[in-house]
Amino acid sequence: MHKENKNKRTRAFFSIDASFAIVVVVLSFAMFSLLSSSAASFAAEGAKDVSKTNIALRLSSYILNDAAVKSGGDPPDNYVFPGEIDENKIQPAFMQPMLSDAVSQGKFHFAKVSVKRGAAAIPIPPSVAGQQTGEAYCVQRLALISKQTALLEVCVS
Amino acid sequence: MKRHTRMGFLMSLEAAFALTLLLIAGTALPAFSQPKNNAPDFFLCSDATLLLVKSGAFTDGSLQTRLDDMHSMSGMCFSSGAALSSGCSSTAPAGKDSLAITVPYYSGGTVSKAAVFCWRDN
Repeated sequence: MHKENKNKRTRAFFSIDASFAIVVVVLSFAMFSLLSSSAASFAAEGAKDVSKTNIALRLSSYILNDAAVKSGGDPPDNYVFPGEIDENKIQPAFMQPMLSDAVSQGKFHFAKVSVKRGAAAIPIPPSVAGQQTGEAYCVQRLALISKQTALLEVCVS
Repeated sequence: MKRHTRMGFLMSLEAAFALTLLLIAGTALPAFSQPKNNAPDFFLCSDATLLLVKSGAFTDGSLQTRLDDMHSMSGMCFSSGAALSSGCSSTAPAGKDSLAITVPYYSGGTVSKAAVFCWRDN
């Protein structure tokens, strides 16, 4: 009788142990699948962030290169620093068609270029094309306009 | 006595299995740390360095003014030699990356070099 009770207790222990093991296995699989899907979405979000930021950087480089004054003048009054930006070429009248063209070609859905110059950070009217959808990815660039420090901000989405 | 040993073996097997699972989960954790994209800050620092060279700030005494202007516009801290953007600590805060770019420039007919350091204070 005493031995039978002991056997029953042992069987009970093993069944508890086995069910616990099954629960652990099921939970582990569920956790791992959750973990892998979270890691994948996290990586996709990071890749999108890098990709959009790089597009904004490339657009800003194109603008800086395109708007650069191509020839200098005599020093000191007419002298132009190498790579200095022509203020006329970053005005909406000049910039807008280029941005609209890029948006219509599907390079991005939305683009905005804004410039501030000088210690007083005088803003130049921004150029905007397309409709912003979702988050906008912005980058800042520094340049020279009329010998003054200027900040160019380019946003795309 | 023998039964106890077998149960002990099963227990240790389960512990080892649990430990293995824990280790696998631990190795998967770095997948959740998003890598920081330093490209925009690098471009900004590179622009600042070129701007200082092109404007002649290293030789005409306007270095401090340029560093202050660039800091107030972009929010990034810059330093070169003894000059430092106003309102910035002299080095990058702990845990923050600092970029350094060395650039050559002409000074009195000879080529000199200057290092520009860039970092974000916040």
